[in-house]
Amino acid sequence: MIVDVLVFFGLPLTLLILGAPIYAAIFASGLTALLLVPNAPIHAVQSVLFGSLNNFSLLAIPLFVLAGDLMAQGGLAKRLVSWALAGVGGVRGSLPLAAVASATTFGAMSGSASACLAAVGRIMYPDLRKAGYSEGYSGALLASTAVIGAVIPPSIPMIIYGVVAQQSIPDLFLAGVLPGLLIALVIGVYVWMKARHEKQNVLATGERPSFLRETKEASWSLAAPVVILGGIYGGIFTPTEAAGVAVIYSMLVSRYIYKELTWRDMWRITSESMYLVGRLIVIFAAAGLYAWALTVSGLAQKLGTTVTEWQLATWQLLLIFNVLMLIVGAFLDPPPALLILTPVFFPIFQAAGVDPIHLGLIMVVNLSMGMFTPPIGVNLFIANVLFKIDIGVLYRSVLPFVALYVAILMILTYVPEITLFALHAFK
Amino acid sequence: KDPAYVVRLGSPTMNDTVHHWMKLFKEGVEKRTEGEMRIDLFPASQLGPIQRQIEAVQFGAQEMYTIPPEFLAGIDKRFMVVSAPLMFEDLEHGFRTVQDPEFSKFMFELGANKGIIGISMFCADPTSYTFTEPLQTYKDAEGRKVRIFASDMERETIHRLGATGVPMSLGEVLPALQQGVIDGARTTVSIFNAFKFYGSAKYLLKTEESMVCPLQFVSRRWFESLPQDLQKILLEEAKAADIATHQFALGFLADNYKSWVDNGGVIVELNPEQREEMRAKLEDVGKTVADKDPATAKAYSQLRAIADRTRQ
Amino acid sequence: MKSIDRVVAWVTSGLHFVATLMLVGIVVVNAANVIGRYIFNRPAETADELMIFMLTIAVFLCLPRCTNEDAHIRMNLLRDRISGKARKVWDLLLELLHFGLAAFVVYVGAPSVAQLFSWGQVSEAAKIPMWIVHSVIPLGFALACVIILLSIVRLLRGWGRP
Ligand code: NA
Ligand code: NA
Repeated sequence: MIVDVLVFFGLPLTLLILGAPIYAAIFASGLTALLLVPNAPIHAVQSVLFGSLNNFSLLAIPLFVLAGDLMAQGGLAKRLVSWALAGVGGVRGSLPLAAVASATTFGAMSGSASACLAAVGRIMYPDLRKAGYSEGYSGALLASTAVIGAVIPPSIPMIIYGVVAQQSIPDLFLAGVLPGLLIALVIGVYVWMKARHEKQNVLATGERPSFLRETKEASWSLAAPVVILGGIYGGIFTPTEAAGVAVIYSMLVSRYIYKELTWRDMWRITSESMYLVGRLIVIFAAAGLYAWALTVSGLAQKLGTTVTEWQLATWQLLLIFNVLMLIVGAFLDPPPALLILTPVFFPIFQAAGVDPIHLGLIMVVNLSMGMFTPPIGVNLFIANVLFKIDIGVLYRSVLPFVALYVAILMILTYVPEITLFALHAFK
Repeated sequence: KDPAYVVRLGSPTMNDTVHHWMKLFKEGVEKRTEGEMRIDLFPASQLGPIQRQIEAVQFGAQEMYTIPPEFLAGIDKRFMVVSAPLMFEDLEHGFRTVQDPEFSKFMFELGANKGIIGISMFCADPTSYTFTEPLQTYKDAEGRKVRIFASDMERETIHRLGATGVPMSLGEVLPALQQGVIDGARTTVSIFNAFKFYGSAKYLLKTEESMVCPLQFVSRRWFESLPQDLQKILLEEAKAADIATHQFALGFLADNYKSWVDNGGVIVELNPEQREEMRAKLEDVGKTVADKDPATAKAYSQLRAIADRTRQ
Repeated sequence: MKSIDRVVAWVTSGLHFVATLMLVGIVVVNAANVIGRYIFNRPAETADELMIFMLTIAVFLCLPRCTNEDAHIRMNLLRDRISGKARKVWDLLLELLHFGLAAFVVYVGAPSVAQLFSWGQVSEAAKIPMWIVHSVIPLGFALACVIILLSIVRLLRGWGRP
């Protein structure tokens, strides 16, 4: 067990700190663990690297990255931001508030927090910087707010939990509505108070664009969520397919309506998006090997057995589980973490009488936080690549947001009514 | 003491007939080998997606896997014949057939030169359909979009019923049903229940035209490196688990139909007349699909003959 | 060395070009599938598989260029505080680790691809030979190995990045 802990947590951490490519650090840990397994199955390297990308939901990431790029450069983003600003322009901290509002709206048309960050982040980051917010604060705000996208339906992590725990995915989706809005509210209040404290500029009435005019100007941008959500809920395409539809929509609007991009521009943007996607998804491949080795080592199961033997009260169990997941989430992204932890802990909580839908929500919120908690979090890496913010700066800047999320997580854990209200109201 | 051999045994689902088999097999082997061999169970695709686990067993990166043979059609097309509609009458008949020495020998050796050896086979579930909108008979499935697993047999079956087959991974099916991207799904009642389809697609059309009969197989590279006595124990314990699981499967199926109704689902039964009509439509699906490839055609007639012999 | 660098840049950009084509392919196949299913009631039965394979191919074909341009995502917090000879040794160790991992993938992956080829294995839906799709992994990492070796030579000779 001590060797396992060293290989799975000590080794990758050390390599990360030393500055190895992140995919290599995770890969080295997975490979070392694999060599320690009985009859070391080295051939697993090829099939697991290949198999880790064998996931239809994963396709939403490159497609939303590309859609976000096209929206950012094709004039859709510009108009959306002006519109959001016109809406909240009279309030201090209107830009970060607009960022939170955009992430929440975008979350309703995307199942993945990474895609949410890629799309909203590209739109909002340059404006946040122009308005004088520091790169660390802007990056951390966007990286953490994007997690709303994983909580508000549709949600890829919810689907993964539903599949593994055999729970109703629509119920899980419903369960995410209020918690998602709660997160938006809390972060909204935080950025507003911070802006007030820092005496951020309020746009003067004269320089504030007219909300009506901006709405008209941004109507094609604002129609994007309508097309995407309408398509999903109207039964035309699945949430993953919606990402591809978003790409085509952005292409058509920026080429023929706003006339801001040529086909040559679009090829360049696609090529740039691909370069980013390549660097990101190779980490998924390495994480797949890591998760495979972790599963095979039985470390997760051993931890589960140990916990059961303690015979704790439910609230203590939930507290410990949350802490454990925060630690796991620090290293793993939600999909592998859900795949590993759900089978181990689901029976424990079922025995303790925790509502399985509530448990799913706790797991999704907690593990999704892992996407922006140091040291390994895909949203941090996206922020690093997209906005060119040093990882160390990001690590420091996300801490206040981690604290906020922990507080929300505690409320969601111990007030299950927030999660289950929508569920009961609709039944 | 530490086991000298560890077997990583994967499966795609959890808390079902296959999982029951895995537990029995684990218990049997570990007891017989007195801990010399340990079986680690990885249900619910914990070791990866279906096709990737199959490859892992071929490469020897994973020792063992259990999956219905139609998923092995990429290795050898002949694996698909087991899933032909009306090959088996019911679970009982399916079990009798797959346990027939001639039948099982054929299936066990089919992947041998591609790195896998079958060690046991039983029948877990029959396939049926669920729909979001009510229906009276199988004819009402016409024109509807139905999620299938993209195998040649399923495509042809769904085509004969006049519906449109939509291949889709299981995780996407429920949201797709709820939003109306698809109108129904073809799989087994235990999976309908596991995914709680009764909430959104509650009309279960009980057709039971194909039997899902998982094949348990091992990595040839690994299996042949084992001492003879261990090989023998694995084969015998697999067979013992088959027999015990068959009894379990019958009860599990009945329980699943009951729990479908208990959860608000509706079961649409075909009357004898409709059943005959449907059978007439599907009778030669297996032959039609198999005939596209000479080796598969031969395998189909050979296995079909065994099935007919055990039909009673 | 300069001409080698040019060849490497040319090859890696070419692979990146192919990867971009794959991403375009994903967009096209996705759209065709949605339109086919919704408007013509004819879904593309191989669409999911094709798109997943195209993503896999794209990712590993991008790898050489990312390696060549030192664009892999990493944490430079500590590394940037070191300079001089210590930094050189440090970077050398990191390059060796990276080389070892990449070489291991080639060592295991190349025979796996050969095996899939000899088995004639094809994919489930589109019946694509699996060895072709699998080969991008050892291919991408083999090129990465060459690039890392060049980088090691450069470090030892005290030359800068191309
Ligand atoms: Na969402
Ligand atoms: Na993290």
